[in-house]
Amino acid sequence: MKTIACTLFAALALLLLGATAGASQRVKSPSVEPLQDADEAVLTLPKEDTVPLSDLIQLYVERRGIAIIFNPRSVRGDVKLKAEEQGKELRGTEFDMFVSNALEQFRFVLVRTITCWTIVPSVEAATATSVLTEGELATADGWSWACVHVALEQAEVNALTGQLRDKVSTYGGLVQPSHPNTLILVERVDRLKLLLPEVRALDKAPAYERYQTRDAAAAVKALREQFKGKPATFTVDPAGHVVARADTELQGKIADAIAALD
Amino acid sequence: MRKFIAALLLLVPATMFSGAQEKPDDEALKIAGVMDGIPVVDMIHLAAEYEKLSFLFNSKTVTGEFTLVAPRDGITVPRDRMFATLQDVLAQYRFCAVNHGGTWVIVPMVEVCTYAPIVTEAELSALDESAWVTVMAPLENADANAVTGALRNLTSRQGGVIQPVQGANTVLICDRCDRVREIMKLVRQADESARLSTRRHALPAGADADKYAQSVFELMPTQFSRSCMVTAAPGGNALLVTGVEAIHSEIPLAIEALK
Repeated sequence: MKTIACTLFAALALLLLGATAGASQRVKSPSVEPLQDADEAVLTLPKEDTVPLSDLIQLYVERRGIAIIFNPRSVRGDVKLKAEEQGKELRGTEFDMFVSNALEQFRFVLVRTITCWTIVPSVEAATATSVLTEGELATADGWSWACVHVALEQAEVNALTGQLRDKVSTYGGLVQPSHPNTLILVERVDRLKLLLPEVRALDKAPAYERYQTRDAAAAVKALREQFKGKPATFTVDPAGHVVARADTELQGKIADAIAALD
Repeated sequence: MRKFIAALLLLVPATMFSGAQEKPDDEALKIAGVMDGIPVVDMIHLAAEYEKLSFLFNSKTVTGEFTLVAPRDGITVPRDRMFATLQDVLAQYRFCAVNHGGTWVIVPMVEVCTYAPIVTEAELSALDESAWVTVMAPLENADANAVTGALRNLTSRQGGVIQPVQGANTVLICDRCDRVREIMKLVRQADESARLSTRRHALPAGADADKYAQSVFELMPTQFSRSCMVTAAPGGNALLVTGVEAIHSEIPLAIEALK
């Protein structure tokens, strides 16, 4: 099959080179092939089958009307299908998501390049994704990968990065703290849409609490030592109280610590 | 599924030949069906013919095959996109084409930053997106070392480079033009996020502005206090605060807590 394909390509190349030898005027083309209407692409799943990844890619380009370039030595494997019923249909973006999920099984992602589409290892997704704003993300396809830059209001970026690191894809997902207090997230858009509200929830405004102590200055010194590395700050107000800035969960621990100090 | 592929392959030659014969003057390359095991060298040949370019490369190192899958009905690649398609193919094997002294040389991506031309940020939008370039991006607000560290994982593997320029608070980015444009979006967002502004925040009547300034500063978390300055405003019952945008929404809360 490989020999046939090579021969065919060589024949095509020779024909086309001959055909275009006389052409002189060049036409500027903004794009090569737009993605077809999402609703037109339909895949009917058999109840149970094993499909080589290359066949699935072929079906996909056929339905979608796009071209995909990949390295056949690395992009290979068999996808096991098990549908609940015979002839289950996947339409439009369901089909895109199905192919994206199948590729993810083998740690690959489909990304758009300059002229067509290509398949790259998931770990390289961050090097091929578009940078979107949170507004653009809302209309982006769930199966595609994207990068967003999130400016944090309250949370400390390194602490938040630690909390989010386990929530992104092991292969390809990226949570990167940036300067001055911002976060770079790379993830598949559907998961990114779930992750962002979580980031916003963790970025909530802290609580300010006032505590009465016998020696406010000594208490602040002790609290700073005790809560070193935690997102909590302390000072003494003009009336001689301890004022603590921390989230509500940590405020409980601060109250306990102050009670123990007295 | 196998039968479908076999049928598709049989249809491919018909589509390809008919497409070529019907439009001999067509400037676009029509590709159809599965083209498996295409040597990279053939793609270089096609790009040379279509774009009228000369390529210089080491045939012992620039080897390999790629697969191109297109719909049975075929799609067209305009001749002025053949070079970009070649760059996509070469990238599969970590190679790229760069213009060196008027000739297009195919080099390993790890060496490309030694060849890529230096362009300005303004020139970037007008350049061919498949070309490899180096851009110097001076930063107004953000720290170049911090930005470099944050964006290091976003450059192309084995070739993309981002480096701080010591003493100039500038980042140097070398990558394919389309990638540089995306990275520059993040650079500019990071630079904007680090912009400092100074505002006046009113204090309660009769408050000791110096004591408030110290207390408010102590309450600011480390991510703000690193770049923030809180002082008593001269001649008034207020604080003068310099910091990033987020800090200005935080200051009134701190003042309220100290009342």
